[in-house]
Amino acid sequence: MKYLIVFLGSSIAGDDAAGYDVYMRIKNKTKARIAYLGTDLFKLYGIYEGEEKLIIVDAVYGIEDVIHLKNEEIFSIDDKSEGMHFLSAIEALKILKTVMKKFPEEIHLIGLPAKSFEKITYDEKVINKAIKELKKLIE
Amino acid sequence: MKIEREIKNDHLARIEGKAGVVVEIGDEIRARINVTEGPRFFEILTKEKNYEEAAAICPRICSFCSIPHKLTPLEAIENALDVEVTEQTKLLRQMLYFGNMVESHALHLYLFAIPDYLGYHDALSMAKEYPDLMKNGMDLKNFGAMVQNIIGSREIHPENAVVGGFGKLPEQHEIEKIKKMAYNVIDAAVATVEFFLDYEYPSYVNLERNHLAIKPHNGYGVYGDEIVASDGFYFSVDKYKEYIGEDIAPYSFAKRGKYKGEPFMVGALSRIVNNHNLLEGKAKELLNSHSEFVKAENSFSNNFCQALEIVYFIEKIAEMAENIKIRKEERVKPDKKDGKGYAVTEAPRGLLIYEVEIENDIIKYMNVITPTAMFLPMMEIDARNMAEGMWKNGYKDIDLIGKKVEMVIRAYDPCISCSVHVIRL
Repeated sequence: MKYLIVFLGSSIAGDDAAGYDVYMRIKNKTKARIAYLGTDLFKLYGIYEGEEKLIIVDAVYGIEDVIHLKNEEIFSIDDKSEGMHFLSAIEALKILKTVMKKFPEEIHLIGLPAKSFEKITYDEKVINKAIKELKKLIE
Repeated sequence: MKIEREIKNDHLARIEGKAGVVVEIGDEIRARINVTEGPRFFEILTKEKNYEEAAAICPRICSFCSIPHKLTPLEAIENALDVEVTEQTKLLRQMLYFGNMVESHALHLYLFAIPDYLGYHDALSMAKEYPDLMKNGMDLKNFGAMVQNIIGSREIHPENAVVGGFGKLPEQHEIEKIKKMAYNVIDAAVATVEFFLDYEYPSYVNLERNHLAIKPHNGYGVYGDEIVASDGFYFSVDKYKEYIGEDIAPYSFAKRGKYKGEPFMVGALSRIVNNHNLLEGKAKELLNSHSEFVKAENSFSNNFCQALEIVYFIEKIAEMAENIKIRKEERVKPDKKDGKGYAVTEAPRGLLIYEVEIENDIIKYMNVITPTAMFLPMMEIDARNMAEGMWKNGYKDIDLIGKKVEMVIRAYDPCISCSVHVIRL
């Protein structure tokens, strides 16, 4: 099964950098197809090459520990974009599903707990745990 | 004033940044747009920094307008230090800027504005019923992002454009890719213009107003040194403080622009009003066929003009990609270490002005005036007139009036986050 891993987040916005941090740790250490998409999951539209499995790594507010959600668990989340600066990855995913001719059969979200846009509050353990979850999915 | 009814929305949806609107209905009708987003202090952040570093800080003002907030301070710094960049740099910067225009307009129209026109409260609900329409939006947005990615070199806050040129030049095969893709998405752009032909603008917001735009160096471009107003007056950007004032309101963190003391408009509509004779190609044909949709007195026309611009910018990107042959060249290094420089460009939402003072390579003063700060007072007037028009014509459904007021605000495509600035601490 071919897979694509995408990472989301802004490197200068506190905990929102979590996805970017994971990307930087693994970018030269994996043979998987990976992409950092900034803060905009809509960019998946331009880079998707028909992979069956999509893994999204992103900071998630309101959780205490690293989470792994799959398919319907992701689509059942009710979240909307507040504007261009706060594009909802979940809403983007749902919109993309309606417009993309080919769409991944399996979607995973690895969420890292985020609390602040001002400063980084997550630690090394959180990043390592997310990488471990990621490895389980691609091995 | 005794307030009979009040429309209060603390958080306007589908705009950039945080703002609310309050409409008070009594003997008269009043509206105010409360900008609640905290000040950004970017002018202060860049103070005492080397100009290269300052030019890297400015794009952080906005993740979506990071190109305008990169290329405009670069221009101001280069003007201050008498740096004349090469023709290739000018062309690539224009392509980069045009790519940003396409992505920004497409995102705004398809995710935020068009759902209003079709009666949906969000883009997802619309996408489920109109997937082909939304696909047009995604094709256009994706094209704009791809241009920025290739020339700007990364997904967010591109760093590739630097003082005197570019850090890394795109490969010729990447330019070919841009050209090919531009031809593939032009139909989606034309369809966007045609979408708006089915709609009439609410007349309640009809009001004579001044429109300010750049007097472009080339064609319908985004670079220039002069600002032209629809009253026939024009002035050089270094005189901007004489004609564009900013005041403050107690309920807003954003400064509020005035032209000769009066509210005014900037943005796609203002560009078309002032520079429509510079359009070319399909955009010109579409404008000539549907000129009745450009209404200088009605802010809803801004969305039609954004659609027209998408067509223009895509065709121009294709044309530039057709003609440019990338050759290796070094950045132009400044000889000077001191100077004062101004720059004005057309960001997606309108005029963007930067002023810098540099001493011994260090930024001593920076001032930024963003388009949203310029059009805020006009947007407030239109919001009030929409509410007043509906109320006086028998509409008593406060929720409906509130929705229409929001629609007026969204037609402007405001970027609240960029508008919150201070000049001095």
